[in-house]
Amino acid sequence: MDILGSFSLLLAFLAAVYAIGAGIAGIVTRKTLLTKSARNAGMAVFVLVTLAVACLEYYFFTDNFSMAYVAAHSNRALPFYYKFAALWAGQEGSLLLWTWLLSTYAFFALFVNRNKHPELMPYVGVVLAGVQTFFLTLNNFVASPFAVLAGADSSGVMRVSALADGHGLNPLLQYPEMVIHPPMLYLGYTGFTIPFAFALGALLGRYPGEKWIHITRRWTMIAWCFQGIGVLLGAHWAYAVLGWGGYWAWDPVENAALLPWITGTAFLHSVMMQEKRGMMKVWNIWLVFTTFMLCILGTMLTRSGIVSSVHAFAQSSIGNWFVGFLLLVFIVCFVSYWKNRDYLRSDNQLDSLVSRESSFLFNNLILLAACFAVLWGTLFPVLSEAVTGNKISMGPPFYNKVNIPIALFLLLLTGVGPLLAWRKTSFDALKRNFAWPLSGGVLAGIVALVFGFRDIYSLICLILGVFVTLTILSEFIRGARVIAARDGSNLISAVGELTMRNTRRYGGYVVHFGMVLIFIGIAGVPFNKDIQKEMAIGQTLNIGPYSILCQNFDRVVTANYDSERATLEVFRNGKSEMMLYPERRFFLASQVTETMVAVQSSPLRDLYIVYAGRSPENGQPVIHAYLNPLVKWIWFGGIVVVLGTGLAMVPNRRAALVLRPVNEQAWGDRVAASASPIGAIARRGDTGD
Amino acid sequence: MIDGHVRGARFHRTRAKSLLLAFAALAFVLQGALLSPSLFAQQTERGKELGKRVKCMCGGCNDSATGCNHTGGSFSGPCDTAKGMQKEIDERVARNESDDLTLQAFVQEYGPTALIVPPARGFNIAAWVTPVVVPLIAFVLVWVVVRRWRQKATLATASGPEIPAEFLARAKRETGRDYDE
Repeated sequence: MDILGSFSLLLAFLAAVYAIGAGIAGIVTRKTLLTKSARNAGMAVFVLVTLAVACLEYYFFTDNFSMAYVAAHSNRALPFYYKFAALWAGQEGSLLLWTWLLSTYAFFALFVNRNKHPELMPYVGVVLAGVQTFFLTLNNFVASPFAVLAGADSSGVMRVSALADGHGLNPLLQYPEMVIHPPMLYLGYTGFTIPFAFALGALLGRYPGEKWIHITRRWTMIAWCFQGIGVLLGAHWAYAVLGWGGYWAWDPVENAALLPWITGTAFLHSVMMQEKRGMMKVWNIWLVFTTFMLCILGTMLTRSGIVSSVHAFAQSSIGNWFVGFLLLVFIVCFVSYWKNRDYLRSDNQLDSLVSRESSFLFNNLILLAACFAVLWGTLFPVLSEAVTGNKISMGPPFYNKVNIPIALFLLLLTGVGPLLAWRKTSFDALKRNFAWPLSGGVLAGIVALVFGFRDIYSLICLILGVFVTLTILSEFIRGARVIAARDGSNLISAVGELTMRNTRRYGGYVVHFGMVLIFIGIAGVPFNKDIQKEMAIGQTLNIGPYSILCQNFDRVVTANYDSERATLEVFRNGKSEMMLYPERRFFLASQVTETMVAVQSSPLRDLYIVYAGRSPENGQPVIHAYLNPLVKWIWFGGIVVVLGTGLAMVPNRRAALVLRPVNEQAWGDRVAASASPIGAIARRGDTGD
Repeated sequence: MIDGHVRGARFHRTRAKSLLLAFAALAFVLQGALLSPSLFAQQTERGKELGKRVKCMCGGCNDSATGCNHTGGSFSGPCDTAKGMQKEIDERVARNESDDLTLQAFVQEYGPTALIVPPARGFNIAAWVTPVVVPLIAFVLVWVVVRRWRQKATLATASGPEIPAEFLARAKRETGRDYDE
């Protein structure tokens, strides 16, 4: 059992190398047997890496402290679910998780398409195996999770030794979200490998048309959704665990996770231009390449400690490997593009600047501007040190100054884009479509001003948020009215019918609405308040409409930690509303203290209480209270985004009616006999995705 | 008489000692209240704002001097380094020193990394200018490309058979959208 894990990892490495060799040989010689063999080897990698992961988990659950990784990241008193999550608590396990999730994606991509796209899949298999080989090289030869503790005995012979108990899991990671946050984020990072492999494979094999986009659309959405969930869970973890009252600090590792999500968002939009009009082929290919490279960069920043970050849980020379791999990926992508650039010629060109196409174009530019600004801020300290020799800091004020205007412009485009028609939109149509959403937004702004809303960015965000929401509503209502009038159904069921007929379009609108909620949640930041006070039992602290009475301080002792806990009664307008129990936990194995925040969350505001500990000056307990408006909107918005993404992945209810190729004459006759012109309009390509 | 004098002298000495002790105790209390860096000393708004522009240099967090919370430490509040930095800021604010001078003092002591964001001077100008200039150049380039496209483009009719005018008019009525422009 002790060597099973490392042996299966080594076999997985050999299988991946074989998949590359046999895959290339199969492509060159056009021998089906070789390509099938390469595909099977690619799928076998998943089985072997799964075995390695199972072995490591077994070591955690059996407290095998002769394994260096287990001894460093677990202890006997650790609850079982954290023993499970300890797999990704350190460098070696995190890289193993990356490899495992990648091999899972690769397995399903190869399995689902095993009898499809025979011209494309061998290329895809080789690219996937190439990426797997890199990570398996790290797992086997650079950062093996299966290293054992060893020491020389009295005769000088090296023998395996074991600790009586492990050093324990980093207390920052002992929080329920940490069980799911890293896998979600890694599902995003690794998931973008699939569209990358298909894009590069299609380019290398000069696979005709936009098929690779159709094949990878759902894979991309899955990866994008996981990346988004990962980012939001990370923000929630920072909010609930770190005890600083915020959720986003523009930390380099947070930024690294955001970057591929931004370019992935750009890709999901611009890809529609290619599907509908055969445009932006070069752009899309490079967006996919960039997204994948940003995933690798993000992993590198997290794992190498190359930039200073509270999240960079490792400091190692592994960054050199990633830099080498990134360079290799870039060279392969560039050479493939250069040699096949004629394959990426546009079928159509832009007809008008006021059109859906141009809105996608500007949306992409804005997203890439945001991505560039974040990347620039993240890497500039490294660049500055290399050029001037001086270390500098790039704190939140830089990102806020640069990104807030960009984000607001993006929010504006979120509202404008869906109201523009493909190819060209007339001024009359613009006036008609924008009149009431814009009026609603302005009205909301005036009302907010009257109620004392004075922060300019928050005010603009509110106006745009209302504008976008109304545009989305108008799109639903306009479409539903047509269906309701034709079918005689009520408006609600017509909305359902409309949504299910074009899930991609209306799911996209739901995602947009989720983003509006997130933006409004963020707009609450300028109105945050906080107060810190030494509180003896019986003393009161006032913040906003709340009065907080300190009732007690007590100790809670468990096998894993000792906790000092405050018991606080919260009053509002003199009426007792709730009890809150913020804690400070001292983790015995790691000898580290962490806060456990108590949060009373409502749609309007969060009351966020930190028991900061005892004052170093006089030993008095100190309570830090924050009043953070609208934070709940962010988490709720995230849920709406996930639901919208899920909806967009559901097949259309009547897809066959729209997509089935028909005889033009017969179709024309049917249109003439039809009671509604909508199908005819849809047939002309104006489905408005 | 002598005894009385001695007793009187003793009385005065004892009283003087008591007064001295009381004064010393008072001075100690006042010193504690006025001179030691209190955890939540009242800072001026300007002092707080300046503290937000300076990084806590303890090396264990990425917070500002004002916002230091020191997660993972024995106390989740400003660490000693942050308190010292905030105290220095307060003293400089009390002396009415300019913001630039105060910030420069920290740069001299800790290097440019002491500032939360780099000043727009020398190579660091690139930090501020590039995120604005590069997207602008991209916008201009895209604009030029789009104009070229439009000059080349001929507005072809949509594929598929001709749709009768009455259908287009009805579609416009029902959906409120133009389809024929």
